[in-house]
Amino acid sequence: MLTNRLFKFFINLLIFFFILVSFDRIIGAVLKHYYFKQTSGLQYRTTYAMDSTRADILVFGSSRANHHYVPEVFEKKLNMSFYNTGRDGNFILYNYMVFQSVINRYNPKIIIFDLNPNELSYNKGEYERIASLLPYYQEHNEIREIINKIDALEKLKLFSKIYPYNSMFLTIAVGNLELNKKRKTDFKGYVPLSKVMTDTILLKYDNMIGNVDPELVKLLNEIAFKCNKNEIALYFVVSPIYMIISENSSIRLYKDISDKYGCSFDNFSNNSIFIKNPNYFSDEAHLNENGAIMFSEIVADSIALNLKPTYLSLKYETKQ
Amino acid sequence: MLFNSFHFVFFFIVVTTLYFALPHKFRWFLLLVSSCYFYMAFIPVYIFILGFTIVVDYFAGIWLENTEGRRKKYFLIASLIANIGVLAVFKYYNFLNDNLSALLNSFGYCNTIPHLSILLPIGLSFHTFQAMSYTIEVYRGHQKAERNFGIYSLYVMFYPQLVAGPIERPQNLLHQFYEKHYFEYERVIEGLKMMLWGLFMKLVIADRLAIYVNAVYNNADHHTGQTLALATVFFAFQIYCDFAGYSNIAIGAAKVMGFKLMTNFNRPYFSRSISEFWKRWHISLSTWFRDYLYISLGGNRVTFHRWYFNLLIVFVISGLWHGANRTFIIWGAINGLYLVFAIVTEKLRKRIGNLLLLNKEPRINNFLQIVITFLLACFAWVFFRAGSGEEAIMIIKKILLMKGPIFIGTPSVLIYSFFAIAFLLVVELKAEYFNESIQLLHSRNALIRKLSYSFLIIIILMIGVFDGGQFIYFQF
Repeated sequence: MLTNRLFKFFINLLIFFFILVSFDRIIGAVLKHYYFKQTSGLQYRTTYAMDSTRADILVFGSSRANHHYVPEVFEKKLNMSFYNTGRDGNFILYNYMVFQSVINRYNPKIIIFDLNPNELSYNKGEYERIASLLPYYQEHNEIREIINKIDALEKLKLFSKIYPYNSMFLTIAVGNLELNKKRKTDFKGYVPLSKVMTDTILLKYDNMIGNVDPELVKLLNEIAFKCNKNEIALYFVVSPIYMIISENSSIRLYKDISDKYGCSFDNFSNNSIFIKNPNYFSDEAHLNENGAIMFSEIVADSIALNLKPTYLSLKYETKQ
Repeated sequence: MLFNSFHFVFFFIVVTTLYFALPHKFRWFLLLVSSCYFYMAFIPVYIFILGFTIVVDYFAGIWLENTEGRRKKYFLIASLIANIGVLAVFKYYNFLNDNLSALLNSFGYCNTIPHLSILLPIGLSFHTFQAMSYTIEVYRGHQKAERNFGIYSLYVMFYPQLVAGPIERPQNLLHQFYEKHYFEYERVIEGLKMMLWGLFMKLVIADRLAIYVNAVYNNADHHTGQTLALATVFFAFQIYCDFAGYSNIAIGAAKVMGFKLMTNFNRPYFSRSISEFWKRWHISLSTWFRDYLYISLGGNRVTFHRWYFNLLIVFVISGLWHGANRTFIIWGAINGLYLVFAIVTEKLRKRIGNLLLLNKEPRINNFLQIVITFLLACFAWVFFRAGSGEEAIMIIKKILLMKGPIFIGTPSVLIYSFFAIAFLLVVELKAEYFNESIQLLHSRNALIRKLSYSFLIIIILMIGVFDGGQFIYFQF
């Protein structure tokens, strides 16, 4: 009797799994097809950065990178091609993986790595956000390795072909609409912000103390090491923020790493040009278009003059 | 260990397989060991707190059975003090200390009693209440004292309902550990279906709604009245799906192994009054308070004023059970006041209903009652979710003014949220009013059934939130 019941159970379980896996494979394939068919938007920009760009200058970072570096300014001043790979809400871990994919294909001449003032602090969310790179898991060996290292169970979850596109259904659908294809929100990856910070926001002081995540420090070291090895000029930059920030462990580590690998580091977080001009900001953490142009000119000039941006920042401040 | 983790999937498969593979006499031991492992996956050292209440109540049960008269009462009181004492230390100590400080400060004194910096053991209120129901039932003579220490420990620690209920009664659960459960195909499938639906409620509905609710409630002062109203409605569904989802997984997991746990939720948002709402919401806790507190206070067999007092005190304590914060007490008190108000205005409301001819339109009447009950529940939820009483009042003021646009944020979050709520309402509406019409998960056609399971899993994979974290009620 029991054997019969168990037999019935397992047969039904097998049929159910067959149906489930078939649906998973079909829907997963459709989602994959349309994900990579997008020609604009956030997901497209990641795909382009990882698989297609051959720009001389690449910018990496979070939303602050994405909204702060204006391609036109760099291309004009440096006479080199430019692409901004910055993505909202994604930090060192994401950028490391995109960086890996890029240098597996080619070596850009210059990399600007925009860092937040406390980006090396442990943040659980950073590890959860690797989900945005799951669509590239199958085709990108370098991403596969890192994701498997971060969460061994991820490999198991990725048995499902739908899972890499979890919560992306609407974005993919919208990204494939004819109307959306014509709408270009970015200029070589850069997305300008038009809003001007009008509310009288008090300038806040923030020590941004947090526990440094050794994994992130390791990744940043690796980025600097690989740039050094491949003769890519690397610039670590903390772009302007409408906040007075005291020197914290992350900033000290940025300096140490840049000293160790001979790359540049410039901290604009307390730069008076921006701190004294809230009109350059869209909100506390992001520059608007005018601010971004102003900031891009400073950074591009520093690269053009082949000076340490630290001194240049000082020079601009004294001019003011 | 969270029910919505891979860790649990492996745990469940291994424990269930071993359960059916082992001879009956060893099964309780397997369940006890696995329950210990399940609990220790959170913070291992807290098993000792659980151990303390188990030992106290085990011996209290035996002593209660062997004694009579006053001594029996003393044993019961001692056991209740031990249980409530554990709750007082781990859950309410800092809350009481803060209130004492505020009181002393108002008289110009300083409180020097230090704060305790300890984490609240997961599910403490649940297993403490389950343990207390045992001693009370033994005291009342409704339950024989359990002599097997292992079985008694399992009664308190049975892993499916250990950290968030349903809060079981000894009469329902204890004897089941002695019964031999066979692998019954229909029952196993039924249990798995409940688990799947529970997981859907948690991952697709509760955790999805949590994204918007947290974004709004964590910055309530920056949001408009309309946004806060929408977030409050979302929270009503979030907390329901979070907790009912957990209960479904718990009841389903137990069912697979042959155990029958009590129903904890019965579509509460279709209630036509607050009194009905509490018969459908967290049933195991409501009935606990009814059986062991409300009736002990005299219930409704007292004067009107005393009855009102009984209702209020039960709901205030129920609020306090949820958390050591004034907002929970206010939430409980509001629900108590709703019930008192309902009793006081019963005749008047009937008269108004007759005047508006609502008695001749039962469908409209029912619909209006459901909407009003839902809105009343939402009003109380504001206090449950807000960080403080002041914040809750600010939110309510903003909601009443209804000024300003709705915060959209990432549009897909709102779209998925509306989809999730609509899906839930369709399923619950069907179960409430059209039970026998269209059958999907319970269809007679095996292919339709399997397609329905697959559909739920695919929706979970497509729009479920996989990093949503733990269940809200764990903190209680």
